[in-house]
Amino acid sequence: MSSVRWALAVLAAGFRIQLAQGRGGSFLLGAVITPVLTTVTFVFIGRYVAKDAELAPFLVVAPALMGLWSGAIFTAGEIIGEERFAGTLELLVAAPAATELAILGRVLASASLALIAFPEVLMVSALLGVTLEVQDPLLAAVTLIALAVSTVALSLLVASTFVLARSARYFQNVIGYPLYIVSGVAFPIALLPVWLQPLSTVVSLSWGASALRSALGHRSGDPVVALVAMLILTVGYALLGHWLFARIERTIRATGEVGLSA
Amino acid sequence: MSESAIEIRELRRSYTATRGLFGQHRATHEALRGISFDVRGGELFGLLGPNGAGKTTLVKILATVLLPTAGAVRVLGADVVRDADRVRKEIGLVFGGERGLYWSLSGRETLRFWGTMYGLPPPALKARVEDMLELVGLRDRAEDRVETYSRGMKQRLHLARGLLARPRLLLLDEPTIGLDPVAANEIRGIVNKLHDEGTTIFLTTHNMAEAQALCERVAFINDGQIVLLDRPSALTQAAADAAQIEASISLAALQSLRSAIAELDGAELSRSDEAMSAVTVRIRASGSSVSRVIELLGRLGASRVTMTEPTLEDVYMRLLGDRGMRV
Repeated sequence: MSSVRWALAVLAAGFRIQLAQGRGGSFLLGAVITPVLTTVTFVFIGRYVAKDAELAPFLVVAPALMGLWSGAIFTAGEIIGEERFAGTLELLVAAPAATELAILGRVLASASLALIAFPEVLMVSALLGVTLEVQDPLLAAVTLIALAVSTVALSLLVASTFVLARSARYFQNVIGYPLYIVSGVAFPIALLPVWLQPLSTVVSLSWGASALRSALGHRSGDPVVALVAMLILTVGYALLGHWLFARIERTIRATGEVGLSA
Repeated sequence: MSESAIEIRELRRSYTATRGLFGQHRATHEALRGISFDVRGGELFGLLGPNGAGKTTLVKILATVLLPTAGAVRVLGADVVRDADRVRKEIGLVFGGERGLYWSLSGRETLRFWGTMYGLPPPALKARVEDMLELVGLRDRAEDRVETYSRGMKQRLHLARGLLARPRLLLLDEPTIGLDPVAANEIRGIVNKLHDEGTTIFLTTHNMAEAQALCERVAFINDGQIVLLDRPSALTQAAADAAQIEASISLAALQSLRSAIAELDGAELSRSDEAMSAVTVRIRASGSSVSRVIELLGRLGASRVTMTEPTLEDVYMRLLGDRGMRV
Protein backbone atom coordinates (compact mmCIF):
# COMPACT_ATOMS: atom_id res chain seq x y z
CA MET A 1 0.00 0.00 0.00
CA SER A 2 1.45 3.40 -0.99
CA SER A 3 2.00 5.91 1.81
CA VAL A 4 -0.69 8.23 0.43
CA ARG A 5 -3.26 5.43 0.30
CA TRP A 6 -2.25 4.32 3.77
CA ALA A 7 -2.56 7.89 5.10
CA LEU A 8 -6.05 8.17 3.58
CA ALA A 9 -7.01 4.76 4.98
CA VAL A 10 -5.89 5.83 8.48
CA LEU A 11 -7.85 9.10 8.15
CA ALA A 12 -10.92 7.12 7.14
CA ALA A 13 -10.38 4.65 9.99
CA GLY A 14 -10.21 7.55 12.47
CA PHE A 15 -13.35 9.00 10.89
CA ARG A 16 -15.20 5.71 11.42
CA ILE A 17 -14.03 5.45 15.02
CA GLN A 18 -15.51 8.87 15.72
CA LEU A 19 -18.82 7.94 14.11
CA ALA A 20 -18.92 4.74 16.15
CA GLN A 21 -18.11 6.57 19.37
CA GLY A 22 -20.94 8.99 18.61
CA ARG A 23 -23.44 6.13 18.46
CA GLY A 24 -23.81 6.46 22.22
CA GLY A 25 -25.82 9.69 21.99
CA SER A 26 -23.21 12.27 22.99
CA PHE A 27 -23.22 13.48 19.39
CA LEU A 28 -26.95 14.06 19.58
CA LEU A 29 -26.55 16.32 22.58
CA GLY A 30 -23.53 18.29 21.36
CA ALA A 31 -24.04 18.70 17.64
CA VAL A 32 -27.81 18.51 17.26
CA ILE A 33 -29.54 19.83 20.36
CA THR A 34 -27.15 22.61 21.45
CA PRO A 35 -27.41 24.67 18.21
CA VAL A 36 -31.23 24.51 18.45
CA LEU A 37 -31.17 25.84 22.00
CA THR A 38 -28.62 28.53 21.13
CA THR A 39 -30.72 29.64 18.16
CA VAL A 40 -33.84 29.92 20.29
CA THR A 41 -31.90 31.98 22.87
CA PHE A 42 -30.43 34.31 20.25
CA VAL A 43 -33.70 34.85 18.41
CA PHE A 44 -35.51 35.76 21.62
CA ILE A 45 -32.72 38.08 22.72
CA GLY A 46 -32.96 39.68 19.26
CA ARG A 47 -36.72 40.14 19.66
CA TYR A 48 -36.28 41.73 23.04
CA VAL A 49 -33.47 44.08 22.03
CA ALA A 50 -34.74 45.28 18.67
CA LYS A 51 -36.92 44.44 15.79
CA ASP A 52 -34.16 45.60 13.52
CA ALA A 53 -33.83 43.25 10.55
CA GLU A 54 -30.10 44.09 10.50
CA LEU A 55 -29.69 41.81 13.47
CA ALA A 56 -31.03 38.77 11.67
CA PRO A 57 -27.73 37.64 10.07
CA PHE A 58 -26.05 37.78 13.47
CA LEU A 59 -28.89 35.89 15.14
CA VAL A 60 -28.61 33.04 12.66
CA VAL A 61 -24.91 32.99 11.80
CA ALA A 62 -23.81 33.05 15.44
CA PRO A 63 -25.50 29.83 16.64
CA ALA A 64 -24.56 28.04 13.41
CA LEU A 65 -20.87 28.90 13.74
CA MET A 66 -20.89 28.31 17.47
CA GLY A 67 -22.43 24.90 16.79
CA LEU A 68 -19.72 24.09 14.25
CA TRP A 69 -16.87 25.18 16.47
CA SER A 70 -18.17 23.71 19.66
CA GLY A 71 -18.96 20.45 17.90
CA ALA A 72 -15.49 20.19 16.42
CA ILE A 73 -13.14 21.92 18.84
CA PHE A 74 -14.71 20.61 22.02
CA THR A 75 -14.66 17.14 20.54
CA ALA A 76 -10.97 17.53 19.70
CA GLY A 77 -10.26 17.94 23.40
CA GLU A 78 -12.63 15.13 24.25
CA ILE A 79 -10.89 12.80 21.79
CA ILE A 80 -7.48 13.11 23.42
CA GLY A 81 -8.95 12.72 26.90
CA GLU A 82 -10.90 9.67 25.77
CA GLU A 83 -7.93 8.02 24.05
CA ARG A 84 -5.74 8.56 27.08
CA PHE A 85 -8.37 7.34 29.55
CA ALA A 86 -9.16 4.25 27.47
CA GLY A 87 -5.47 3.38 27.16
CA THR A 88 -5.70 3.52 23.36
CA LEU A 89 -3.38 6.54 23.03
CA GLU A 90 -0.44 4.32 24.02
CA LEU A 91 -1.41 1.74 21.41
CA LEU A 92 -1.83 4.45 18.76
CA VAL A 93 1.66 5.76 19.53
CA ALA A 94 3.05 2.20 19.36
CA ALA A 95 1.44 1.56 15.95
CA PRO A 96 3.34 2.29 12.72
CA ALA A 97 0.76 4.77 11.36
CA ALA A 98 0.99 8.40 12.42
CA THR A 99 -1.11 8.94 15.56
CA GLU A 100 -1.84 12.43 14.25
CA LEU A 101 -3.65 11.04 11.21
CA ALA A 102 -5.98 8.86 13.28
CA ILE A 103 -6.77 11.82 15.54
CA LEU A 104 -7.24 14.05 12.48
CA GLY A 105 -9.70 11.51 11.06
CA ARG A 106 -11.70 11.69 14.28
CA VAL A 107 -11.60 15.50 14.26
CA LEU A 108 -12.69 15.53 10.61
CA ALA A 109 -15.69 13.37 11.48
CA SER A 110 -16.74 15.60 14.34
CA ALA A 111 -16.40 18.75 12.18
CA SER A 112 -18.41 17.13 9.38
CA LEU A 113 -21.15 16.12 11.78
CA ALA A 114 -21.13 19.59 13.32
CA LEU A 115 -21.98 21.08 9.90
CA ILE A 116 -25.50 19.88 10.55
CA ALA A 117 -25.84 23.00 12.70
CA PHE A 118 -26.26 25.17 9.56
CA PRO A 119 -29.44 23.72 8.04
CA GLU A 120 -30.75 23.13 11.52
CA VAL A 121 -30.28 26.74 12.62
CA LEU A 122 -31.86 28.06 9.40
CA MET A 123 -34.84 25.82 9.97
CA VAL A 124 -35.32 26.68 13.64
CA SER A 125 -34.95 30.42 13.03
CA ALA A 126 -37.47 30.22 10.15
CA LEU A 127 -39.90 28.48 12.51
CA LEU A 128 -39.38 31.36 14.94
CA GLY A 129 -40.11 33.91 12.23
CA VAL A 130 -36.57 34.95 11.32
CA THR A 131 -36.14 34.25 7.65
CA LEU A 132 -32.98 34.87 5.75
CA GLU A 133 -32.44 34.89 2.06
CA VAL A 134 -29.16 33.51 0.82
CA GLN A 135 -28.32 36.21 -1.69
CA ASP A 136 -25.05 34.73 -2.87
CA PRO A 137 -25.35 30.92 -2.77
CA LEU A 138 -21.89 30.38 -4.27
CA LEU A 139 -20.24 32.56 -1.64
CA ALA A 140 -22.26 30.80 1.09
CA ALA A 141 -21.19 27.35 -0.14
CA VAL A 142 -17.51 28.28 -0.51
CA THR A 143 -17.51 29.93 2.91
CA LEU A 144 -19.10 26.92 4.57
CA ILE A 145 -16.52 24.55 3.06
CA ALA A 146 -13.68 26.91 3.99
CA LEU A 147 -15.07 27.18 7.51
CA ALA A 148 -15.27 23.40 7.88
CA VAL A 149 -11.69 22.93 6.67
CA SER A 150 -10.45 25.74 8.88
CA THR A 151 -12.27 24.27 11.85
CA VAL A 152 -10.55 20.91 11.29
CA ALA A 153 -7.14 22.61 11.11
CA LEU A 154 -7.80 24.57 14.29
CA SER A 155 -9.15 21.46 15.99
CA LEU A 156 -5.90 19.63 15.24
CA LEU A 157 -4.03 22.52 16.82
CA VAL A 158 -6.29 22.37 19.86
CA ALA A 159 -6.02 18.56 20.04
CA SER A 160 -2.21 18.85 19.95
CA THR A 161 -2.15 21.17 22.92
CA PHE A 162 -4.66 18.98 24.73
CA VAL A 163 -2.24 16.05 24.43
CA LEU A 164 -0.12 17.90 26.98
CA ALA A 165 -2.97 18.52 29.39
CA ARG A 166 -3.97 15.42 31.31
CA SER A 167 -7.26 17.10 32.20
CA ALA A 168 -8.03 18.28 28.68
CA ARG A 169 -11.73 17.86 29.33
CA TYR A 170 -11.75 20.81 31.74
CA PHE A 171 -9.97 23.11 29.29
CA GLN A 172 -12.30 22.35 26.41
CA ASN A 173 -15.17 23.96 28.32
CA VAL A 174 -13.18 27.13 28.84
CA ILE A 175 -11.88 27.92 25.38
CA GLY A 176 -15.20 28.28 23.54
CA TYR A 177 -16.50 31.65 24.69
CA PRO A 178 -13.19 33.56 24.45
CA LEU A 179 -13.07 32.42 20.80
CA TYR A 180 -16.68 33.45 20.16
CA ILE A 181 -16.08 36.86 21.73
CA VAL A 182 -12.86 37.57 19.85
CA SER A 183 -14.28 36.35 16.53
CA GLY A 184 -17.36 38.55 16.78
CA VAL A 185 -19.72 35.83 15.63
CA ALA A 186 -22.61 37.25 17.64
CA PHE A 187 -21.87 40.97 17.33
CA PRO A 188 -19.74 43.32 15.21
CA ILE A 189 -16.05 43.23 16.11
CA ALA A 190 -16.14 47.03 16.30
CA LEU A 191 -17.95 46.65 19.63
CA LEU A 192 -14.90 44.97 21.18
CA PRO A 193 -12.33 47.09 23.07
CA VAL A 194 -9.80 48.49 20.57
CA TRP A 195 -6.91 46.56 22.14
CA LEU A 196 -8.75 43.27 21.64
CA GLN A 197 -9.77 43.82 18.03
CA PRO A 198 -6.42 42.83 16.40
CA LEU A 199 -6.81 39.38 17.97
CA SER A 200 -9.87 38.71 15.86
CA THR A 201 -7.77 38.93 12.69
CA VAL A 202 -5.98 35.68 13.60
CA VAL A 203 -9.21 33.80 14.32
CA SER A 204 -10.52 32.35 11.05
CA LEU A 205 -14.02 32.19 12.47
CA SER A 206 -14.24 35.99 12.43
CA TRP A 207 -13.46 36.07 8.68
CA GLY A 208 -15.81 33.18 8.03
CA ALA A 209 -18.62 34.88 9.93
CA SER A 210 -18.05 38.07 7.96
CA ALA A 211 -18.09 36.23 4.58
CA LEU A 212 -21.19 34.31 5.59
CA ARG A 213 -23.04 37.47 6.58
CA SER A 214 -22.06 38.95 3.22
CA ALA A 215 -23.61 35.92 1.50
CA LEU A 216 -26.77 36.63 3.50
CA GLY A 217 -26.88 40.20 2.20
CA HIS A 218 -25.27 41.97 5.16
CA ARG A 219 -22.17 43.71 3.79
CA SER A 220 -19.46 43.44 6.40
CA GLY A 221 -16.21 43.81 4.51
CA ASP A 222 -14.96 42.36 1.26
CA PRO A 223 -15.83 38.63 1.19
CA VAL A 224 -12.89 37.82 -1.07
CA VAL A 225 -10.47 39.34 1.43
CA ALA A 226 -12.22 37.34 4.14
CA LEU A 227 -11.84 34.08 2.19
CA VAL A 228 -8.16 34.71 1.43
CA ALA A 229 -7.53 35.53 5.09
CA MET A 230 -9.28 32.31 6.08
CA LEU A 231 -7.16 30.32 3.67
CA ILE A 232 -3.92 31.78 5.02
CA LEU A 233 -4.99 31.24 8.62
CA THR A 234 -6.11 27.67 7.89
CA VAL A 235 -2.75 26.77 6.35
CA GLY A 236 -1.09 28.39 9.36
CA TYR A 237 -3.22 26.41 11.82
CA ALA A 238 -2.52 23.15 9.95
CA LEU A 239 1.26 23.67 9.81
CA LEU A 240 1.42 24.77 13.42
CA GLY A 241 -0.82 21.87 14.50
CA HIS A 242 1.33 19.34 12.61
CA TRP A 243 4.56 20.72 14.06
CA LEU A 244 3.11 20.91 17.54
CA PHE A 245 1.69 17.38 17.43
CA ALA A 246 5.08 15.87 16.50
CA ARG A 247 6.85 17.85 19.23
CA ILE A 248 4.26 17.10 21.86
CA GLU A 249 4.16 13.39 21.03
CA ARG A 250 7.91 13.23 21.61
CA THR A 251 7.59 15.27 24.80
CA ILE A 252 5.03 12.95 26.34
CA ARG A 253 7.09 9.91 25.35
CA ALA A 254 9.95 11.51 27.25
CA THR A 255 7.89 12.49 30.29
CA GLY A 256 5.92 9.25 30.38
CA GLU A 257 2.55 10.94 29.94
CA VAL A 258 1.20 9.01 26.95
CA GLY A 259 -0.91 6.94 29.30
CA LEU A 260 -2.37 7.53 32.71
CA SER A 261 0.12 5.27 34.43
CA ALA A 262 3.79 4.47 33.98
CA MET B 1 16.53 -17.63 14.59
CA SER B 2 19.15 -17.26 17.30
CA GLU B 3 20.54 -13.73 17.24
CA SER B 4 19.20 -11.31 19.85
CA ALA B 5 15.66 -10.06 19.28
CA ILE B 6 16.04 -7.62 22.16
CA GLU B 7 19.30 -6.08 23.40
CA ILE B 8 19.16 -3.95 26.50
CA ARG B 9 22.28 -2.17 27.75
CA GLU B 10 22.53 -0.10 30.93
CA LEU B 11 18.93 1.01 30.54
CA ARG B 12 17.72 3.66 32.93
CA ARG B 13 14.35 5.33 33.14
CA SER B 14 13.29 7.88 35.69
CA TYR B 15 10.07 9.81 36.18
CA THR B 16 9.81 13.29 37.59
CA ALA B 17 6.65 14.15 39.45
CA THR B 18 5.77 17.72 40.33
CA ARG B 19 3.75 18.77 43.34
CA GLY B 20 2.46 22.05 44.68
CA LEU B 21 0.28 24.70 43.06
CA PHE B 22 2.95 25.80 40.58
CA GLY B 23 4.72 22.46 40.34
CA GLN B 24 7.55 23.86 42.44
CA HIS B 25 8.27 20.59 44.25
CA ARG B 26 9.87 17.99 42.04
CA ALA B 27 10.59 14.40 42.99
CA THR B 28 12.40 11.94 40.74
CA HIS B 29 11.74 8.23 40.89
CA GLU B 30 14.04 5.81 39.12
CA ALA B 31 11.94 2.99 37.66
CA LEU B 32 14.79 1.21 35.85
CA ARG B 33 18.32 1.39 37.24
CA GLY B 34 20.79 0.36 34.57
CA ILE B 35 19.51 -3.03 33.45
CA SER B 36 21.19 -5.12 30.76
CA PHE B 37 20.12 -8.38 29.16
CA ASP B 38 19.27 -9.98 25.82
CA VAL B 39 16.27 -11.92 24.57
CA ARG B 40 17.11 -14.41 21.82
CA GLY B 41 15.20 -14.63 18.57
CA GLY B 42 12.32 -17.12 18.82
CA GLU B 43 12.58 -17.24 22.61
CA LEU B 44 9.66 -17.06 25.05
CA PHE B 45 11.09 -14.84 27.77
CA GLY B 46 9.36 -13.96 31.05
CA LEU B 47 9.89 -10.90 33.20
CA LEU B 48 8.67 -11.41 36.73
CA GLY B 49 8.47 -9.00 39.60
CA PRO B 50 6.17 -7.26 42.05
CA ASN B 51 3.99 -4.24 41.27
CA GLY B 52 6.06 -1.15 40.60
CA ALA B 53 9.23 -3.13 39.93
CA GLY B 54 9.63 -1.67 36.43
CA LYS B 55 8.03 -4.37 34.22
CA THR B 56 5.51 -2.17 32.42
CA THR B 57 8.04 0.65 32.08
CA LEU B 58 10.34 -1.77 30.25
CA VAL B 59 7.54 -3.02 27.99
CA LYS B 60 6.61 0.57 27.10
CA ILE B 61 10.23 1.36 26.20
CA LEU B 62 10.41 -1.75 24.01
CA ALA B 63 7.16 -0.66 22.35
CA THR B 64 8.56 2.88 21.72
CA VAL B 65 5.79 4.46 23.80
CA LEU B 66 8.32 5.65 26.36
CA LEU B 67 11.82 7.02 25.79
CA PRO B 68 14.73 5.75 27.90
CA THR B 69 16.42 8.25 30.18
CA ALA B 70 19.81 6.61 29.49
CA GLY B 71 21.22 3.45 27.97
CA ALA B 72 20.46 1.65 24.72
CA VAL B 73 17.70 -0.69 23.59
CA ARG B 74 17.60 -2.46 20.25
CA VAL B 75 14.59 -4.41 19.07
CA LEU B 76 15.21 -6.76 16.14
CA GLY B 77 18.31 -4.74 15.36
CA ALA B 78 16.59 -1.33 15.40
CA ASP B 79 17.17 1.32 18.03
CA VAL B 80 13.94 2.13 19.90
CA VAL B 81 14.70 5.86 19.91
CA ARG B 82 16.28 6.53 16.51
CA ASP B 83 14.48 3.79 14.56
CA ALA B 84 11.12 3.84 16.33
CA ASP B 85 9.20 3.56 13.04
CA ARG B 86 11.06 0.36 12.11
CA VAL B 87 10.49 -1.13 15.56
CA ARG B 88 6.76 -0.37 15.43
CA LYS B 89 6.33 -2.33 12.19
CA GLU B 90 7.89 -5.45 13.73
CA ILE B 91 6.21 -5.68 17.12
CA GLY B 92 2.80 -6.50 18.54
CA LEU B 93 1.87 -4.96 21.87
CA VAL B 94 -0.73 -6.51 24.14
CA PHE B 95 -1.66 -5.06 27.50
CA GLY B 96 -3.60 -7.06 30.06
CA GLY B 97 -6.91 -5.86 31.49
CA GLU B 98 -9.76 -3.95 29.95
CA ARG B 99 -7.94 -0.81 28.83
CA GLY B 100 -6.81 -0.24 25.26
CA LEU B 101 -10.12 -0.94 23.52
CA TYR B 102 -12.77 1.27 21.93
CA TRP B 103 -15.83 -0.01 23.71
CA SER B 104 -18.34 1.32 21.15
CA LEU B 105 -16.74 -0.66 18.33
CA SER B 106 -17.52 -4.27 17.53
CA GLY B 107 -14.76 -6.87 17.68
CA ARG B 108 -14.51 -6.89 13.88
CA GLU B 109 -14.42 -3.07 13.65
CA THR B 110 -11.70 -3.01 16.30
CA LEU B 111 -9.49 -5.37 14.33
CA ARG B 112 -10.14 -3.54 11.06
CA PHE B 113 -9.15 -0.25 12.66
CA TRP B 114 -5.90 -1.61 14.10
CA GLY B 115 -5.12 -3.51 10.91
CA THR B 116 -5.25 -0.18 9.08
CA MET B 117 -3.00 1.39 11.72
CA TYR B 118 -0.50 -1.38 10.98
CA GLY B 119 -0.68 -0.76 7.23
CA LEU B 120 -2.47 -3.94 6.09
CA PRO B 121 -3.89 -3.35 2.60
CA PRO B 122 -7.70 -3.74 2.39
CA PRO B 123 -7.98 -7.22 0.76
CA ALA B 124 -5.36 -8.74 3.08
CA LEU B 125 -6.85 -6.91 6.03
CA LYS B 126 -10.27 -8.47 5.58
CA ALA B 127 -8.88 -12.00 5.44
CA ARG B 128 -6.48 -11.41 8.31
CA VAL B 129 -9.23 -10.02 10.55
CA GLU B 130 -11.34 -13.13 9.94
CA ASP B 131 -8.33 -15.40 10.64
CA MET B 132 -7.63 -13.62 13.91
CA LEU B 133 -11.28 -13.76 14.98
CA GLU B 134 -11.18 -17.49 14.29
CA LEU B 135 -7.89 -17.95 16.15
CA VAL B 136 -9.17 -16.33 19.34
CA GLY B 137 -12.64 -17.82 19.04
CA LEU B 138 -14.54 -14.55 18.64
CA ARG B 139 -16.06 -15.11 15.22
CA ASP B 140 -19.57 -15.65 16.59
CA ARG B 141 -19.44 -12.42 18.58
CA ALA B 142 -17.52 -10.37 16.00
CA GLU B 143 -20.42 -7.99 15.32
CA ASP B 144 -21.15 -7.34 19.01
CA ARG B 145 -19.83 -4.25 20.68
CA VAL B 146 -16.71 -4.69 22.81
CA GLU B 147 -18.58 -3.27 25.83
CA THR B 148 -20.71 -6.44 25.86
CA TYR B 149 -17.66 -8.75 25.97
CA SER B 150 -16.55 -10.63 29.07
CA ARG B 151 -13.10 -9.90 30.44
CA GLY B 152 -11.71 -13.04 28.83
CA MET B 153 -13.17 -12.09 25.45
CA LYS B 154 -11.68 -8.61 25.69
CA GLN B 155 -8.30 -10.14 26.43
CA ARG B 156 -8.61 -12.48 23.46
CA LEU B 157 -9.48 -9.47 21.30
CA HIS B 158 -6.37 -7.70 22.65
CA LEU B 159 -4.29 -10.66 21.63
CA ALA B 160 -5.88 -10.80 18.16
CA ARG B 161 -5.13 -7.08 17.74
CA GLY B 162 -1.51 -7.63 18.73
CA LEU B 163 -1.14 -10.44 16.19
CA LEU B 164 -2.79 -8.74 13.19
CA ALA B 165 0.41 -7.59 11.52
CA ARG B 166 2.23 -10.92 12.09
CA PRO B 167 4.75 -9.37 14.48
CA ARG B 168 8.20 -10.93 14.80
CA LEU B 169 8.20 -9.85 18.45
CA LEU B 170 5.15 -9.98 20.67
CA LEU B 171 5.15 -7.95 23.89
CA LEU B 172 2.63 -9.28 26.39
CA ASP B 173 2.16 -7.20 29.52
CA GLU B 174 0.35 -9.36 32.06
CA PRO B 175 -1.96 -10.90 29.46
CA THR B 176 -3.80 -13.16 31.90
CA ILE B 177 -4.29 -10.67 34.72
CA GLY B 178 -7.74 -10.94 36.26
CA LEU B 179 -8.82 -13.84 34.05
CA ASP B 180 -10.51 -16.97 35.34
CA PRO B 181 -8.42 -20.17 35.03
CA VAL B 182 -10.19 -21.34 31.86
CA ALA B 183 -9.76 -18.02 30.04
CA ALA B 184 -6.13 -17.73 31.22
CA ASN B 185 -5.46 -21.22 29.95
CA GLU B 186 -6.90 -20.34 26.53
CA ILE B 187 -4.57 -17.35 26.30
CA ARG B 188 -1.59 -19.51 27.34
CA GLY B 189 -2.52 -22.04 24.65
CA ILE B 190 -2.43 -19.35 21.96
CA VAL B 191 0.87 -17.97 23.30
CA ASN B 192 2.39 -21.46 23.20
CA LYS B 193 1.21 -21.95 19.64
CA LEU B 194 2.74 -18.65 18.54
CA HIS B 195 5.99 -19.58 20.19
CA ASP B 196 6.00 -22.92 18.38
CA GLU B 197 5.57 -20.99 15.14
CA GLY B 198 8.74 -19.03 15.85
CA THR B 199 7.44 -15.71 17.22
CA THR B 200 9.68 -14.15 19.86
CA ILE B 201 7.59 -13.45 22.94
CA PHE B 202 8.39 -11.12 25.81
CA LEU B 203 5.94 -11.75 28.64
CA THR B 204 5.53 -9.98 31.95
CA THR B 205 3.49 -11.71 34.61
CA HIS B 206 2.84 -12.06 38.32
CA ASN B 207 1.84 -15.64 37.80
CA MET B 208 4.83 -17.83 38.65
CA ALA B 209 3.19 -21.07 37.53
CA GLU B 210 2.42 -19.46 34.17
CA ALA B 211 6.02 -18.31 33.76
CA GLN B 212 7.34 -21.72 34.76
CA ALA B 213 5.04 -23.49 32.32
CA LEU B 214 5.58 -21.16 29.35
CA CYS B 215 8.96 -19.46 29.49
CA GLU B 216 12.32 -20.70 28.31
CA ARG B 217 14.10 -18.12 30.42
CA VAL B 218 12.88 -15.74 33.10
CA ALA B 219 14.29 -12.65 34.76
CA PHE B 220 13.27 -11.34 38.16
CA ILE B 221 13.11 -7.58 38.40
CA ASN B 222 12.93 -5.70 41.67
CA ASP B 223 13.27 -1.96 42.32
CA GLY B 224 14.28 -1.41 38.70
CA GLN B 225 17.10 -3.96 38.73
CA ILE B 226 17.39 -7.48 37.32
CA VAL B 227 18.14 -9.64 40.33
CA LEU B 228 18.15 -13.07 38.65
CA LEU B 229 18.00 -14.36 35.10
CA ASP B 230 18.07 -17.98 33.95
CA ARG B 231 16.01 -20.93 32.78
CA PRO B 232 13.17 -21.73 35.20
CA SER B 233 14.60 -25.23 35.71
CA ALA B 234 18.03 -23.81 36.59
CA LEU B 235 16.49 -21.36 39.03
CA THR B 236 14.43 -24.00 40.78
CA GLN B 237 17.44 -26.34 40.75
CA ALA B 238 19.43 -23.64 42.52
CA ALA B 239 16.65 -23.41 45.07
CA ALA B 240 16.73 -27.18 45.45
CA ASP B 241 19.75 -27.00 47.70
CA ALA B 242 17.01 -27.07 50.26
CA ALA B 243 14.26 -29.69 50.40
CA GLN B 244 10.65 -28.54 50.43
CA ILE B 245 8.64 -30.47 52.99
CA GLU B 246 4.90 -30.09 53.19
CA ALA B 247 2.79 -31.54 55.97
CA SER B 248 -0.48 -31.16 57.79
CA ILE B 249 -0.43 -30.75 61.57
CA SER B 250 -2.96 -29.86 64.23
CA LEU B 251 -3.43 -26.24 65.23
CA ALA B 252 -2.34 -27.15 68.76
CA ALA B 253 0.99 -28.50 67.55
CA LEU B 254 1.82 -25.45 65.40
CA GLN B 255 3.51 -23.44 68.16
CA SER B 256 5.70 -26.36 69.19
CA LEU B 257 6.69 -26.84 65.56
CA ARG B 258 7.57 -23.15 65.19
CA SER B 259 9.80 -23.21 68.28
CA ALA B 260 11.54 -26.43 67.28
CA ILE B 261 12.16 -25.24 63.69
CA ALA B 262 13.55 -21.93 64.97
CA GLU B 263 16.20 -23.87 66.92
CA LEU B 264 17.18 -26.04 63.96
CA ASP B 265 20.10 -24.93 61.78
CA GLY B 266 19.25 -24.99 58.05
CA ALA B 267 15.48 -25.25 58.48
CA GLU B 268 12.87 -22.58 57.96
CA LEU B 269 9.09 -22.54 58.16
CA SER B 270 8.21 -20.83 54.88
CA ARG B 271 4.43 -20.95 54.93
CA SER B 272 1.52 -22.06 57.06
CA ASP B 273 -2.06 -22.05 55.81
CA GLU B 274 -4.50 -22.45 58.66
CA ALA B 275 -7.75 -24.29 58.15
CA MET B 276 -10.38 -25.21 60.77
CA SER B 277 -8.34 -27.41 63.07
CA ALA B 278 -5.32 -28.34 60.96
CA VAL B 279 -2.47 -26.38 59.45
CA THR B 280 -0.64 -27.06 56.23
CA VAL B 281 3.00 -26.13 56.76
CA ARG B 282 5.79 -25.78 54.26
CA ILE B 283 9.29 -26.15 55.55
CA ARG B 284 12.52 -25.54 53.72
CA ALA B 285 15.33 -27.66 55.09
CA SER B 286 18.84 -28.56 53.99
CA GLY B 287 21.54 -31.07 54.90
CA SER B 288 21.08 -33.01 58.11
CA SER B 289 18.14 -30.87 59.16
CA VAL B 290 15.93 -32.69 56.62
CA SER B 291 15.80 -35.91 58.61
CA ARG B 292 15.40 -34.00 61.88
CA VAL B 293 12.43 -32.05 60.46
CA ILE B 294 10.76 -35.27 59.34
CA GLU B 295 11.38 -36.84 62.75
CA LEU B 296 9.94 -33.72 64.41
CA LEU B 297 6.84 -33.82 62.23
CA GLY B 298 6.36 -37.48 63.15
CA ARG B 299 6.59 -36.65 66.86
CA LEU B 300 4.00 -33.86 66.49
CA GLY B 301 1.58 -36.22 64.78
CA ALA B 302 1.79 -34.64 61.34
CA SER B 303 -0.03 -36.28 58.46
CA ARG B 304 0.33 -36.11 54.67
CA VAL B 305 4.08 -35.45 54.85
CA THR B 306 5.47 -34.92 51.34
CA MET B 307 8.72 -33.72 49.81
CA THR B 308 8.00 -31.35 46.90
CA GLU B 309 10.03 -29.89 44.07
CA PRO B 310 10.80 -26.20 44.49
CA THR B 311 8.88 -23.92 42.14
CA LEU B 312 9.52 -20.48 40.69
CA GLU B 313 7.22 -19.18 43.38
CA ASP B 314 9.66 -20.48 45.99
CA VAL B 315 12.50 -18.72 44.19
CA TYR B 316 10.40 -15.54 44.00
CA MET B 317 9.49 -15.68 47.68
CA ARG B 318 13.10 -16.21 48.67
CA LEU B 319 14.20 -13.27 46.57
CA LEU B 320 11.38 -10.83 47.16
CA GLY B 321 9.36 -12.22 50.01
CA ASP B 322 10.48 -9.51 52.44
CA ARG B 323 9.14 -6.78 50.17
CA GLY B 324 5.65 -6.91 51.68
CA MET B 325 3.20 -4.28 50.37
CA ARG B 326 5.95 -1.84 49.38
CA VAL B 327 5.77 -0.42 45.84
